[in-house]
Amino acid sequence: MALLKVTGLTKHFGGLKAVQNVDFNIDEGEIVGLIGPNGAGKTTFVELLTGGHAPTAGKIEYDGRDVTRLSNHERCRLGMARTFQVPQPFGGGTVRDNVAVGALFGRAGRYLTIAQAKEKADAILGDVGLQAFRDSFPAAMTTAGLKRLELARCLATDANLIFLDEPLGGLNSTEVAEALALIRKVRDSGVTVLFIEHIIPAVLSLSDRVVVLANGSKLAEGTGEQVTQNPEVKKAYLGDISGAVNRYARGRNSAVVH
Amino acid sequence: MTLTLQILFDSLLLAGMLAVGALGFTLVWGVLNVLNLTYAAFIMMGAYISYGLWHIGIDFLLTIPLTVLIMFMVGWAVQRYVIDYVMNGPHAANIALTYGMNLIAVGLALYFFSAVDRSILVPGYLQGVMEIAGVKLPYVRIVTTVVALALTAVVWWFFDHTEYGAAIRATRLDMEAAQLVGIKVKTIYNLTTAIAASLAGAMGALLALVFSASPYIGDHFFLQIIIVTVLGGLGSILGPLLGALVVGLAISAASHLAGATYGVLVGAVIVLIVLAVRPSGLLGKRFYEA
Amino acid sequence: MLLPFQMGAAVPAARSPAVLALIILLVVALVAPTFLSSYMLRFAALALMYLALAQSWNLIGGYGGLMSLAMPAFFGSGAVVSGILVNSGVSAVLSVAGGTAVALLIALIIAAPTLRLQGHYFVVATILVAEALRNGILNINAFGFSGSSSLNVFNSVGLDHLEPRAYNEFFYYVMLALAAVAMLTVFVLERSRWGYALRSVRDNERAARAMGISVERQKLYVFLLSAGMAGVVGGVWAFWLGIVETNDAFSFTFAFDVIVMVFLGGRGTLWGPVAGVCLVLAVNEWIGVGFPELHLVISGLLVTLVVLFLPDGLVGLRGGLKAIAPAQLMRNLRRYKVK
Repeated sequence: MALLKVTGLTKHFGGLKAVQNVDFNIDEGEIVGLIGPNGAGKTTFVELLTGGHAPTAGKIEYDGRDVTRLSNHERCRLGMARTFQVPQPFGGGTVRDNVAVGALFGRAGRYLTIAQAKEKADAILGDVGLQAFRDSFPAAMTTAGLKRLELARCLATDANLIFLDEPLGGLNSTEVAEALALIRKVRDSGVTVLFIEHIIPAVLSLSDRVVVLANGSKLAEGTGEQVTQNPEVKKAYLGDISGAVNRYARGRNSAVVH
Repeated sequence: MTLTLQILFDSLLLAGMLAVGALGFTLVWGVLNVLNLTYAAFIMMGAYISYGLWHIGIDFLLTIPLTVLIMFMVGWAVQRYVIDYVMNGPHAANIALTYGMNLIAVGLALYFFSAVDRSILVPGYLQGVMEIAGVKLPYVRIVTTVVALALTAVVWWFFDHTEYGAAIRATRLDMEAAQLVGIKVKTIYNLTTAIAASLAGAMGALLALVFSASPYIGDHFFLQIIIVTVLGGLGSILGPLLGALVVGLAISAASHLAGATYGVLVGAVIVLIVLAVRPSGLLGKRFYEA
Repeated sequence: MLLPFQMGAAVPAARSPAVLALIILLVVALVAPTFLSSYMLRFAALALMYLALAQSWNLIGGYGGLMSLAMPAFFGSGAVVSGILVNSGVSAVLSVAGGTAVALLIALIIAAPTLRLQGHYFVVATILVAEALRNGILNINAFGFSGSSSLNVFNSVGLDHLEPRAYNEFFYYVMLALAAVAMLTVFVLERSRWGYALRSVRDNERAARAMGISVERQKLYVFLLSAGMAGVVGGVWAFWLGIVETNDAFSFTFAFDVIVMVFLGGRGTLWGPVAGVCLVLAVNEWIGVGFPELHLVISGLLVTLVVLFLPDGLVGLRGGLKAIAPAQLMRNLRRYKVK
């Protein structure tokens, strides 16, 4: 059952065609990875989905409901939440306060008192492993911690669908492994995830399905294997040297081209 | 017809002075993203310095470059030793700080010079009025306008043809990139404020001649400068000029037709309307969003 | 700049130290007139007025993070309209209400175009609105009202039969009520969902939007609230003074004094404005007596030093005297320095 259904999504910034006629679905419980070369329109696409930009054309349906004209905050209240590539915490509040905001104004927050929101925040912080930082301020946290905070905030809104914008950026390999485990845990708790990433092995290991954007259009879609074997995809990433790289890869018995 | 021409001419004169003042203010806002309320004090200081120099016998036209030089140093010092400390802080900090310093400056001026207006007497060679098609063009005002435009031209040339000008423009466009190519942002900031203070000082000197030097002279014209700056937008040198022309025209027309207070009202309303439609001013580019 | 969310939810409101302090202060204020000389009474009433204004600005500038300089527009229109109404025979209370309504109307009109401006543009727009309004009213000459001449309301307010002392006592209590409401508003804000929403908008608009907060509405509400409060105080001030002078009512001096008080005391805190009002008024008294000409200089020096060395305001001293240790002051100085 498609939780998110996108038809013909297009966004032009004046002459720049950032996103062109993209059709796209996400089913409940999926983890979908969104990849593509730089400038492919991935972040714009997510902005369109979460309400940051109004599309030039196209339709977005969430849980059967047309949300194309809704603003960011309205979509959040319906259950679509997002994290930011560069973490955007609320600097004046503690980590707990940050998550409490999500609890108060998200989908289920309407009748929560502050005390209840804080309790919920504490619980979620425990789930993501940030309990030690409850009373810290964002300024004192590492990148990995801030990324977890972003995720915790989303979870606090009781979102059904979470968009993660490069959740692994700036993390070392241990932190990446921990982050991947956390994202899987989130999905297992019933949340659908769409994430943008550049680290291909991570995308392949985490995603049920991969979508490739290039030059604003959907280039390919499928499992990780399918997508990485796709010659169009290889060309988009590597340009004309892809032939040589393929020969090299075949020669070395590697099935996947990075 | 005569009235129209008179309005046009008067607006040109006013525009000239406002353009010089606005240019400096635009620079500081555009490059440093600081709303420098001390700018009003810079204008006032320029007026007093020019007056003081004239008082000890220096010819008025000569006081201008001297004032510019002195104010250059003042601006540099103020940026380096005071404003520097709030550059990375929230907006409110630089507004409050520059406001505080403006208060100090105006207060000191009041204390030492009292509120008496001090006017530079028009030198002999500038006295007299030209009449063209029934429009009165006092020589004083003509020269003032010429000086103002000359200064603007110098600044324009500086930004277009010198390394420092290029560096300032680069910093304005992208501070990080500028740093990466080796531009010392702090020096640029100091230089920009120094130039701005010079321009303010020049405007002050002209004001001392055309009007008079008083502790509140800077504050008095500050609103008009803000109007010109916002109208013109922050992205260019031409912007303030255009803004100054529009404002000069509006204020002049309104003053002639209805009375002085209408002038400012009209100016303010025009800017508000422009901002409502184009949040970055007439010629502004959206470099600084916050 | 770290402005604390400051939630006291761990301690039930009824027992929180802030509540206790507020109650004690209120009681003291209620009985104070009996002990104050006439001069001190007027001074205290003035202080309460400034407190009400300071908290009204604290809402938008401190908790809302919007450096609005539009206060003269609202305070002034509150004053002028109340004056016009009361002179036309409307009762005093309704006149103030009318003045406030007009202030709110103006705020509503300029809110949409102004609030979406970013950074310094917003500040400038608020300045322009206040100035445009001032000049506009100065030019009005209709229905027997001339903006450029002063409006005498003393006889219309209905309190001219009172002795000076009783008169001032009356307005002392009115100002106390206004200040109390203002303090209460901020107190409630800090402990409510609204406070969380507002401060989130202040700290990070993008993130606030993503978390389900309507940024536009939050800004609008706080803008209107601040405007309304300023309007009421303006109306009462006009009646107290007995005379409305357009240039004084719309003067930026009030606004800047108030902003300085909030800055000095600590933006975005409940007690900051209290400290700020006390300090500034005390310093003014002291200078006024000793160094009348240097008034501006000392005020300016105060603001400059606080912004440089104590950016969080006097409430930063809550951490004890070590907050003003030279080492800490130097650290504060360097906090926002260009690298």
